[in-house]
Amino acid sequence: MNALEVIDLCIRYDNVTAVSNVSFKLTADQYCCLLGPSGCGKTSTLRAIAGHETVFSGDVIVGGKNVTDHAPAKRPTSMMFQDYALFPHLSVLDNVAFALKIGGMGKTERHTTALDYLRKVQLEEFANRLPSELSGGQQQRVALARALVTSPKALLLDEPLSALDPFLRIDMRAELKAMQKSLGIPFVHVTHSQEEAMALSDVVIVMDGGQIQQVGSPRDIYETPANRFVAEFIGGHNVIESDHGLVSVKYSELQIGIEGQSNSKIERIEYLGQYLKVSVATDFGTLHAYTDDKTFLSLGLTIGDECNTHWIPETETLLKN
Amino acid sequence: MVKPNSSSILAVPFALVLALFFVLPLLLVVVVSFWDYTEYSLIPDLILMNYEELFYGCFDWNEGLCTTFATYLSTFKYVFLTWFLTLGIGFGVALYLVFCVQSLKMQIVLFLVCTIPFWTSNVIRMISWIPLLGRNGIVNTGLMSMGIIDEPIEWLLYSGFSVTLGFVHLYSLFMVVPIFNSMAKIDRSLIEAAKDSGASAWQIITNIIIPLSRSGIMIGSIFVITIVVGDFITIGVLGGQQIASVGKIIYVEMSYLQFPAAAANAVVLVSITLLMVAAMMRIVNVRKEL
Repeated sequence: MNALEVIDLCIRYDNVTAVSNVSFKLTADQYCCLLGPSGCGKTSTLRAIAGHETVFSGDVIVGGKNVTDHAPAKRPTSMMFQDYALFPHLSVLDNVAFALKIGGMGKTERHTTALDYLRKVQLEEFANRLPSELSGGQQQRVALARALVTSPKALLLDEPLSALDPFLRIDMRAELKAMQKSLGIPFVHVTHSQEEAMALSDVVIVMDGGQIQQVGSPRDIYETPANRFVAEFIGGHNVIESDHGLVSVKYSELQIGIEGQSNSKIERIEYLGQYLKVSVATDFGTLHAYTDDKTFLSLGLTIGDECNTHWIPETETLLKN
Repeated sequence: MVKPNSSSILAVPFALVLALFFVLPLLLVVVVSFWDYTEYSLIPDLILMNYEELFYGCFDWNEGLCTTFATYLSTFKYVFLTWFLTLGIGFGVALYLVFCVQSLKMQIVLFLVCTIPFWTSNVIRMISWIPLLGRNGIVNTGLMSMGIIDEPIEWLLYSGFSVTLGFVHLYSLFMVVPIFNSMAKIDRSLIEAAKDSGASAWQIITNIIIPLSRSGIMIGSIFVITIVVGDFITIGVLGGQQIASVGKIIYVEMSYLQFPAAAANAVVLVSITLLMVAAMMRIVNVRKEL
């Protein structure tokens, strides 16, 4: 059964269409990332699922129930906000217990339950602190506990990792993923980082201009991008207007050598640790290749040298536009 | 202690003004409150007579309430009524401006509309209630011509009602502005987070908005309370010189040149006001939340 379903969602602001015809389905065991540049409609879509955005047309179905016209409070979803939106005047414990208090649960009971959730995010010893006394990563975990305390049927996360430093971000995303697997509810995670989406998702939904560009597993999307936008946005793809149409060739599939006819010139070489990124000027414009450093260095090529650039036709992916 | 640096020079002019026109006169008032006086002269001295006279008979409980206590009671009645009503109005207006008016432009326009009454002087605004509320005023004639009442309502003017009305009219904005200010700082995502947690509009107000705008509420309350506590003009004009207030007693004593008595009264009033403000500051750490 689908735990979360969005059908033909459209959102408009004063005659400007922000989101149009967005449809997708998620099962309970799926971690989904809405990926796209800013202004692509991913956050609006998320907010519409949460009920914070007025839907122009379409339906949102959570746990088999159509909640399109329900207020956020009446939906079995929970949202984690971008800068956490923790209540600054309440202790960590009361922040987590807030929804329970609103639901009319007694003080002792709600504090016990909230402590259970704080334990899940390893923050029980901070229960009596104020949010401002915690680090960014800790605040984030409080926000997670607060979102989960109502036992939602789907968790919606609005750029949850964007405020964290890079190392913490990588730790946190592993924690989020583990949390999703143990809870068995779908997570919908908005991000503009393709790396984050790739690392986390079971399903990636790439959006642009208010529309879905491609839906699939990270591998599907990376191996066979649907169109020029997806190929360019997820990175690592040369988009080439060849004689048989628009194709994409992954950086790692582009071969640079000294044998054969020279058809290009080295423009730039970047050393990236595990590999080199070599940029070459060709008839198709500048193309990039990821190459093993030993192999490349043995060729003895430097910037400005002529070389032969080619790819195996089978590695091309035909793009729609 | 703040380390003195060149930027503290910026505070010097205002510090001088305050020292010269506020601290010094206040000290003089304290000094004079211990002086003796006759009908025509002030005699420098160090006596407690002015204070003794002020509280004469106040601690003899069989005699009923002494004049001083009765006056303070009457004053605090208006302080409380005005505070309560301006708080309600101020909170409501600020809530509407911040959370119900969507566009910033409209917010600014409506905020300016709130300040329009301030384009005329306090006294004029006060006096203009008289032709409205008087025996033959607009309200009474209007109600009579509509046949709702047969004879003029007496309590409209020169009554507790008109004094309270005047205070609320004059000082509501002092509540609106600071509350508006602290409400405007509330992150909108907090409201959404509360909604997401299932809170109703009323629960959002009581659980989120009130606690987060309490510094504004406190500053507005301090404004209103300190202004009303020492008022004698509004109470005089709209109370028809019939209602007692501490400020009015001081005013009358001054007009009889009983400066030491007036000074003693003023010292007591200032002390009580300061105590109230100190108590309020204890409830909310205004400095921390500014």
